[in-house]
Amino acid sequence: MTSVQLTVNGKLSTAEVDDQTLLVEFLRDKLRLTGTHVGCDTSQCGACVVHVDGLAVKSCTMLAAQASGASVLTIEGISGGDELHPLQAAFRKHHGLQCGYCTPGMIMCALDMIRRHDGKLDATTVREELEGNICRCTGYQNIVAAILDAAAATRALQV
Amino acid sequence: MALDKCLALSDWAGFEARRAASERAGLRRGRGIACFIEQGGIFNERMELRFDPSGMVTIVAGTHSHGQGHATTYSQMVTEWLGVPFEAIRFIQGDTEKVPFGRGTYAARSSMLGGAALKNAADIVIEKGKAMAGFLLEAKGAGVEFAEGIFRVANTNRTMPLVDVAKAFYRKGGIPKEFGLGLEATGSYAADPPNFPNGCHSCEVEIDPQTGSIVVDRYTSVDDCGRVVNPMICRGQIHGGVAQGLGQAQREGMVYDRESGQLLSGSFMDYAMPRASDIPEIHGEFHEVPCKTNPLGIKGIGEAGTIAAPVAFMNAVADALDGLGVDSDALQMPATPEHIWAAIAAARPHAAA
Repeated sequence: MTSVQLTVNGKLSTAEVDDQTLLVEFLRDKLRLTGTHVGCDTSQCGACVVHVDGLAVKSCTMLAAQASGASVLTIEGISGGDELHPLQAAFRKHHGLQCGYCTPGMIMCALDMIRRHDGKLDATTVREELEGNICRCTGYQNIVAAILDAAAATRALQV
Repeated sequence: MALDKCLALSDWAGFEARRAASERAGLRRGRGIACFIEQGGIFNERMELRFDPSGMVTIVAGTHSHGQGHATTYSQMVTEWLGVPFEAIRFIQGDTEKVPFGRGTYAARSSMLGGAALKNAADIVIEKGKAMAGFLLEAKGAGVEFAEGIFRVANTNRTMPLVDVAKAFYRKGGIPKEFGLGLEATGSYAADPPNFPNGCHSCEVEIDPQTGSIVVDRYTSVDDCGRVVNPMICRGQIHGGVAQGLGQAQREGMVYDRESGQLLSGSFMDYAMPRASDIPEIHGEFHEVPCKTNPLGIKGIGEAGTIAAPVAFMNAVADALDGLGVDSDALQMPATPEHIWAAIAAARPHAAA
């Protein structure tokens, strides 16, 4: 057993976990934050993306113990109360989800993408950056549109 | 018609210029087209409408939505037919404790079969409502009409909204016994005769003959799915279907070890699901020809993309390789870069001769 201490969505959580406990298991099973999904468990699909100390990581491939001491942001933590985060609103507006399974990971990945590129994104870049996130429903088109829209809105706010 | 639209939308006429540009870059460009027809929707389906004493209505669906947007599409229909506010509609599906029977979602069937069954249920609600409205408005044998959510005694100004009539079915008393208690209706519909979604898709690819790698550079879809209830959802269905079709044609394949029978493509590490950069922006339009074999004019939408895309893609690949001596009939799906490169290499001696 290992003692871990994480700040998740601004809230400090301390727990004893098995050494092999994955970060995604900790989030879903211990904290019941089930917005983060497990798709493939092999770092391929990206449904489990969360932010650890500001970086997008696949939480199925990180031990909870490795994240101890870190600050974790999950899909539950990006919006304020009932208000959608602008990126969530853009996914809704552009029909960027169908079954919704990949959506939490897509949004956490996109949030990181927009930040790293300072909102300056084009369709080709977005598609390349989504390499690690798989969607079987949408053909990606409306996901790309949603991310570009949210990125443009982010730029507009900065000007 | 769909063909003409597709040719215009895809700038079919500008292909030669694009091909010349590709050629200057050492790439081979090809185009393909697929005119398709399918049979949409099979079997029969069952839908229920249940009002409650507050005037809310619940759709109990025999179909199942796992991303196809049924809650939205069915609610649009109920709002249109019964004049109930969108926000006053609830949706139940997939729970065997709550849905007495249903066949689910497959074969591009839900909007047409589920929708037509729902229409059947809505018509029954209107008929029951007319009788109740006749009593409440003291029609005394005069006809009761229904339009845009309002019952009206014919040739009078005596009216009542459907929601109020629905609530009356739950009154504690003062209602003739023959109305029973509650307002609900079950509708059904069968896909007999069926419907035939159809359309025309085109695809352009660029192949690097040195490596066999393929880029889908342009994809255009024109679909006749009958009446389009929700354009955003229907477009989403086309996008997803095309991505499925392009995945199947380009790279998705189950690979087994010849010696041991072991599955080699058993995870996303090995099974090549298309990524965002593998799928082009799809330019799509609808060519709406209302279906005549169901009351809603709807044809299926869910599988159109999967049917058209592999054909359009493989035709484009064959066109791109034209002149290299490749036996295009021997090209197999998935047309992976390795497969294409091998086909080009195998044809080389013949091309030289």
